[in-house]
Amino acid sequence: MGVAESTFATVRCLEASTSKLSVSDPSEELREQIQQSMVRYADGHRDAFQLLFQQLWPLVQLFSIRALGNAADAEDAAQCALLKIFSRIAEFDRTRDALTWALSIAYYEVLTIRRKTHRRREDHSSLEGMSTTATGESEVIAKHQMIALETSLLMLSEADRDLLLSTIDDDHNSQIAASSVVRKRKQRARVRLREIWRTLYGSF
Amino acid sequence: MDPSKRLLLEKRAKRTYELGRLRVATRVAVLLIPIVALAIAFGDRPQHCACIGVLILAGAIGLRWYGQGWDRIIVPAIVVGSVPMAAGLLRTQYPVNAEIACALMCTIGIAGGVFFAFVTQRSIGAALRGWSVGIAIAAATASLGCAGGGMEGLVGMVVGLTLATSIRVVRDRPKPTQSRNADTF
Repeated sequence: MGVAESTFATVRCLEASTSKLSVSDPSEELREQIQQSMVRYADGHRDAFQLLFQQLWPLVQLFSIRALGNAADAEDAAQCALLKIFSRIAEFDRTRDALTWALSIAYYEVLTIRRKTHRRREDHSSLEGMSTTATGESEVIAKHQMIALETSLLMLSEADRDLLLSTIDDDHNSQIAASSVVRKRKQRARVRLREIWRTLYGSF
Repeated sequence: MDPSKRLLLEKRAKRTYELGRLRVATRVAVLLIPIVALAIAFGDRPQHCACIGVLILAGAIGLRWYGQGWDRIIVPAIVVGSVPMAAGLLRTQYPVNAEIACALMCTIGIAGGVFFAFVTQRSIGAALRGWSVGIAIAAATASLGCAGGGMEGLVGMVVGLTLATSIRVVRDRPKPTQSRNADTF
């Protein structure tokens, strides 16, 4: 399975998982619900805690499991991330997207756990799943980039995501024949994807 | 996840949230402590200033930690109250003609009060509770400089606040068909 097809499959799988959390349009409605709960809780309305916790915890868990693979490490990362999110909610910038903000904190926790795991493995002189050779390092980098790309795609709206992923499915001739409207929409979707990437990971 | 572990995680999340709120709330000390220090250094009654300062700090931190809109009036109230406070301290250091001082202090106080009412109108809206707490904090801050004289500034500020905010309260009072702003108290 190529990189693009793998990304497509992963994003569809994660969408299916998160769609169980909401009734109608899974991504937009859930994102809006999280935004409202986060703003209320950041404003000091303590009754918003339960709903926000129920909305965020599964997503943070899902993200950590996908990023780390290992269930034990993922659980640790998810718990640390959730606690960090709640400790910083009072400083949450209401103009930002709540879900993006929360998952960016989760991402850094995942990186921290990954570094700890890597150091543990180096200390024990066993590089399970990792290699210090040039080939092994490039595989690790590629894996990091895949996860980063998948996360960024998840942050997009469903319409943008479908548009970009359909670019992978379409053959070359179809892309040439695509109307200027569709091309412009794809271009805008790519711009939004770049903005999300910059928000999460800095410049390219 | 095991229900007991989930419950534990929820409790920890709530605790870290409250600690986070408290941490953010204490940042008001960066603004308040220099103001109180000035009042203690240049005022006539440093012990009174210190006591009032501690009360203002505790109240400000408490309200900012509580949130729900109360936090948004604290900093504007302190800033506005510091103007007549500064004028009162200057008067203590450089005594001037009593009538001129009275007129000047009243004007500064009224201007500060009007400014406060307009700056915080989005935070407070038409809610009287928020307005009265804002006045109390601004008045307490102003009183730091008025302990040794200069009560005119404090009175002027309260008059200005009352006038300006009353006008806003009456003007912005929700009509029967209008729904209340969710952010008001």
